[in-house]
Formats: sequence, structure tokens, C-alpha cells
Amino acid sequence: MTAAVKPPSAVGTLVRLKWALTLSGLKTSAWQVVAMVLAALMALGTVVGTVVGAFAVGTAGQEWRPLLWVAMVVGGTVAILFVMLMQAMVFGEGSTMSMGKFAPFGIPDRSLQLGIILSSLSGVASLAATACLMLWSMAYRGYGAGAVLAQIIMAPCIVILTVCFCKAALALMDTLIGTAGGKSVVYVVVMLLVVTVSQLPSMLMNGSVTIGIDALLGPTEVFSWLPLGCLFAVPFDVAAGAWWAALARVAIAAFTVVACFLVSSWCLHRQRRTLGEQNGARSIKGIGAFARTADSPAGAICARVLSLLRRDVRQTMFLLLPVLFVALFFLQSGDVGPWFPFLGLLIAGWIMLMGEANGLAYDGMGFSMEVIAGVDGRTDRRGRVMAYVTLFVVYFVVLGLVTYAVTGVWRDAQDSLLALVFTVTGFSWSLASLGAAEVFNCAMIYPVPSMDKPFANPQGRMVAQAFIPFLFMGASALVMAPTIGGTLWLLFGAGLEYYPWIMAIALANGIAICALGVWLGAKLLDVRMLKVLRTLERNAALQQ
Amino acid sequence: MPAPVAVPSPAPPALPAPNPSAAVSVRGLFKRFGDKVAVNGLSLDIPVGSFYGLVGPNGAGKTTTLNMVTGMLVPDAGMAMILGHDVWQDVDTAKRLIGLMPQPDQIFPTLTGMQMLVYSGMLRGMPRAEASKRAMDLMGAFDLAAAANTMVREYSAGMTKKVCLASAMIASPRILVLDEPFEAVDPVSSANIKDILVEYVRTGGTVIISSHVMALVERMCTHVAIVNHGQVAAAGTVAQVAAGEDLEERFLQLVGGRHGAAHLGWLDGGAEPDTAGVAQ
Repeated sequence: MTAAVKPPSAVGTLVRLKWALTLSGLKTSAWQVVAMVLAALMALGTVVGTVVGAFAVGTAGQEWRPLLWVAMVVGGTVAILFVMLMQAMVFGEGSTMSMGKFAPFGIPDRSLQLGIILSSLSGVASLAATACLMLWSMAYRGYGAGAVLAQIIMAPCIVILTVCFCKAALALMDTLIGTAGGKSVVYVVVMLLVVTVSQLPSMLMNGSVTIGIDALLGPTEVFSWLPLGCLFAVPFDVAAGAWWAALARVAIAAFTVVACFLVSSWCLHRQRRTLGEQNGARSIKGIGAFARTADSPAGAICARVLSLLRRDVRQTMFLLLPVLFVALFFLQSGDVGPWFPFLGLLIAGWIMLMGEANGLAYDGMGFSMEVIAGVDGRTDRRGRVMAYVTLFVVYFVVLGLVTYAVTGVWRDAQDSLLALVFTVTGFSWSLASLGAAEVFNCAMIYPVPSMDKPFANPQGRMVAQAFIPFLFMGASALVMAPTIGGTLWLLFGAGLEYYPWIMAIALANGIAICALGVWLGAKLLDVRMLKVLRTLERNAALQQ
Repeated sequence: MPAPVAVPSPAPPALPAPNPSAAVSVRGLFKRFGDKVAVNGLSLDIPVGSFYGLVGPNGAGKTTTLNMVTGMLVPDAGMAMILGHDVWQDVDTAKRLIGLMPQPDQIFPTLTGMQMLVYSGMLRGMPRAEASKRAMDLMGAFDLAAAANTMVREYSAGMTKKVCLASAMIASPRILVLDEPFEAVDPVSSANIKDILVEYVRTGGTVIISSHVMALVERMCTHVAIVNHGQVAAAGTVAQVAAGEDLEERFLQLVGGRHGAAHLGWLDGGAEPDTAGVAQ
């Protein structure tokens, strides 16, 4: 007989698994390591920033207290909602640590749920958030030691509440929206909501929406009794000696955590019961875009890209963002001028290519078909560019005309000319960005969520996702340097009346960079074709 | 002190020249992943017009070999020739001679079956009209006509496998390379596909299949190569390799590793599950 060995707990195993997977994710590419280091530096910066901010707020006078009350309770609630939306949009429910993956092992639901939550709490983001919230206690120095201590105790509780709420909300989304189409719609709505919420501070600051602090005190009182805001109010209760109120709020938070736990468990049950259920199959008549593009291999790639852009919500999103920006700028255009929404068209070229900059990752293993067929880099790049240029021409003409009609810019000839300059320059920027994207997408590939689960992120993708798109946005701005230089010369050198010439400079700039990008991207793809395929294979493994 | 581990090097180049008249001629093919040698100096000739089976245990190097022969993986050493064309001198020309069946995860699931086949044909330079006509023919031949306009993501595993097979055939290549082509395919479709492949071979085409199903290889293939530890253990016509025995028995003899049932004391189907994981 051998000595009895204490079995490892499922909860502990899940936490260890999360870290093992995160570390193994770092081995997928050197960029992951770079991005991880940057993420760690950002986390450190946030912690340091919190300390500085907390000390500054802590020394503020009595008159600032209502603002702190509103900022903490309402801001805290909005922050938790924002974290949830961000998770839904960008980071998602970890596909590797999703509960469905552990269904075959017969781990009791509670242990499984607890393990998943603890694994999230042990992550870099949760630890950094806890540290920041604890350090924020310094902001309550003026309220007394009790308030400082209360904030220190509430810090981990807030993080636990956030994690449980996000898990439950995402599980509910994934469970209740059964069809792929439904998930796509929710994904789009969530993404647009996040962008709109991100624009709120700018709208508030430039006066397009004005709310006084006194008007917020009433709603803040309500928020302080709601599940997501209650814990932020506890230090204020302690400072005021309102112990029963503090206890009641902690009880509300505890009840919320338990409710979220139960919701997640229910989702797990339901997912198991409905596993493998088929939704209605979608039928498409004919061969669609394949009938309308050039009759060549490049035409086939063009048709395939166009078909996928329509059916792949992960990429459609980038095409919808400029419309949202036009709408947001329209709301803010009051004091600026009717031409202001055209700024949305100008930056459209900057945003829309974010997907194409990682286009081969969105193609995924389907890209193998080109490798199998022996398609060369030039054919691939030409096909992709044909698809995007066709799309951009239609996109800019339609969006430009609609914006032109809605904003009333047509009333003034100068405004109309300015709107035209923005539209043409935006189109040119999209061409230049396309050129940059065609080089980028065969050199810097990072994992993306699977098409079926846009809410689920491949393990270890978060850091790369946070870093590489910004690099592309930088490159995309850099390739427009001739236009920027030309604009400065026209405005400050030649004379303001020559500014319509910006269109010609931008167009030449865009076409040249696009052609250069196709040429360079083709060369790069020819050399790296099989390496790209291996990277896509690794990424596909992360999506499993 | 642990003994030093010898890492095998590429096989010496003292090999006969590749056979340019063969459909596939491989000499001294070598591939290593880290310290693991996947293919170790493999040499093989596959005659034109043969139905060639590549068999071997898991991890024997079959898929790695096929990947190197079809231009999907660069070998560390050795050479591969397709109908007289050096694969790695002009990989795109070699690929155009081959119809490699993509795996189900290597296609675009949001295209319909029909679009998938037209895409596959057009990628290989076929005119759209011809690709569409052949796609219709293949859909009918593979019992997929009713699902032609349905997205591939809605297909069953067997239907997906069939559309993958059809996409390898659409350009009528000189050589078809199929990795486990009948996996998950229903018996009726399987029989229909076998008829198509036999007819293709009769017209001068060459089929190379990799499979674990010995009965299928014995019944369909004219030639077979048994691959083990990244090398060819035996190759020739099925009769030559079987050497008068059942092919599966011969395979087990050559590959080895068969042993009596291991006695796993803890594997007790009649007892309560040992949830604590404690050795008794």
C-alpha cells in the first residue's frame, strides 16, 4: 500500500493552468514578449499615476468633496460597465479558460466557477487594479483613518465584484444569443457603445453636453445603492459614521457577487444542455461576388475578401466606425461649423484599415488555400487591394454624399470645398493605409478571436492586441508625411487660398504608397509565405 | 551523468539521382523540429498512374513528408521532384501540377460550398465559367448539390471533407494528394468517391493517399509505402509489400510496437471511480 497523497484542488489547478497558458502564449512570438513588457510598464505607470493622483486629491479642500463623491460612485459604476464592454469588444471571455472547455472533466460547477474567477483575479490586470484601488485610499486622507482603511478593504472587493459581473454578463451574452447573426449584431452594438462612451469626456469638455455637479448629486445617491456603485460609497459612509449604510452596501455587493456566480452557473448548465444544437442554415443564391470580379486568380481573392468582409463581424466593425465618428462629430459640430463631421471621413482612412493590417490573421487557416494553389504574393496583394479600393470608392462617395446632405454644408461654397478636401484626403489616406497594411499584415500577425466566438479571445492575445494596432496606426500616419508636409507648406508658405491643392498632394501620396505597399508586401509575402502559414497554424491552435 | 544525446544530421548525399519520369521522386528528404527528427533521409519513387498509399503509425512522418513534397514545408535536406520539376527550385509550378486536399480547417467556412469550389478553381487560373461548371459537376458527384448554396460552416464533418476533396480535384491536376480522404465520409459517398478516384487513375492521374485504414489501402491502392521513424520501411506494389501475407500483419511486423495487453491495475471498470486519485 502506498501512502495517501492529497489530491490537488481543482481551483488551484485552474489558477496554475491560467498562468501556464499565459506564459506559453508569450512563446508564440517575440512581439508577445515586447507587448507584455509594455503592458507591465503601462500597469506600473498606472499604479504610479494613481499614487500621484491620490495624494493630489487627498490634499484638496472641502469644496471638492461633492465632486469626489460623484466621481467615485458614478465614475466607478461607469468604469465597471466600461470594463465589461471592453472585455466583450476586445478581450472577451478567455476561450482557453472558458467553462465549456472543462465540461468533460466532471469538475463540480462551484469549483469550476470559482477556479475560473480566481484565475481571472490572479491576472496582471486584476492585480494592478487592486493595487491602484488600494493606493487610491490616499485620496481619503482628509476623511480620516476609517475611510482610508475602508477603501483599502473595499479595493479587492471591487475587483472581485467587477470580475464576477463581467464573467456573468459575458456568459449570459454567449448563452442567450444563440445564432451567429445575433452574436454579430450584439458585437457591433457593444463596440459602437464603447466608442460612444469613450467620446463622452470629449463631448462634455467641449460643451456639446453640459451637466452641473449639483444635478448629479441626486442620481449619485441612487447609483450608490446600485450593485456596481455601492462599494465606492463605503469609504464616505465610514467617514460619516453611517455604519448601517456601509454594511447595507457591502451586503448589496455580496448579494450581487452571489447572483453573478449563480447566473454564470446557470449559463454553464444551459450551454451543456444545448451543446451541438443546430441553428437554421443560411442559404446564398449563386456565387455572389465571385460573379462580378475580374476573371483571374486576383479576382477570386478580391471576391473572397469582399464576401468575408460582409460575413465577418470582426472586420465589418472597422468599416462601421467612421460612420459612428461622423455621427459623433455631427453632434459636436454646433460651435465649429457644418464641415466638422467631415473630420470623420478624414480619419476613416486611418481607422478602417486596422482589420486589413492583420488581414491574414482574419483569413486564418483559410489562407492555406492560396499556399496550396501556389498563388504568388503579387496576385494575393493585387486581389486584396482590388477589394478594398472598390469598397473605399463606394464607401467614400456614399458616406460623403449622405454627410453632405445631412450637415447642410452645401449652403456655403467654402464649407463645401473644405468638406470635399476632407473627403478626398480621407480617401487618399485610406489608400496609403492600405499600402501600409499590405506590408504590415505579412510581417506582424497577432492572434484574433475566432469568427464563431467574437467575444472569446485566444489566450495570450491581449498584450499583442494592445500593442501592434498602435504600431500600425503610427505607420499609417507616417506614410502620409508628404501630405502633412505639403499641407503645412500650402497653409504657411504658399498661402491659404491654395489649400484645395492638398487634395492633389494627398491623392498622389495615397496612390504612391498603395502601389509601393503592394510591391513591397508581395515581395515580403513571397519570402515569408510558409512562415505566415506556420504563424496562422499557431494562432488557430490558440483559438481551439 | 546523463549520456549525451546524439542529434541526427541530414543523411549523406550518396543517393541515386531522382527519377524525372516518376510522378513523385524523393531523395534523402530530411526534416527536424527542434531535437525531434520527423523525416530522416526518406527516399521514394511514386510511378505515374499509380494509386499510392502512404501508411505508418502516428508520428511516423507521413504528413511531414507530404507537406515537403507539395511545397507546404521547406525540407532541411534532400530533394523532391514532381513530374521532373524540382519542387523547391520552382515551387509554384510544382504546386500547379498537384491537387492537394486542404484539411477542413484550411478552408473558408463562410463561403458556400459552390463559392469554395469556384474560388479554388479560379485561384488555379481557371476561367470563372469553367470553374462554375466543374463546381456544379463536383457538387452533384459528391452528393452535395442540395447544399451547394449553404455556407460550409453549416456542413457536417463528412460534407466538409467532401468539399475539401472536391476543391483538390477541380483543376484536374496530374497528381492528387489526399490526407485521410475518407475520414468521416459516409459509406455511400465514400463508394462514389472511390469510383471517381479509380476512374481518374485509369485516365493517367496519380493518387497519393495517406491513411491509417489498412483495409482501404489494400483494396484501393496499387502501390504502398510503409513509413516508420521518418524512413521508408517497405515500398512497392501492394503484393510486393504484403509478401504473401495480410497487409495489416505485414505492417505490424515492419513497424513493431505491438505488445500484449498491458496490465493497468487501477483500470477497473467494475469499481467506483477513484475520485481522490489516491493509489491504493
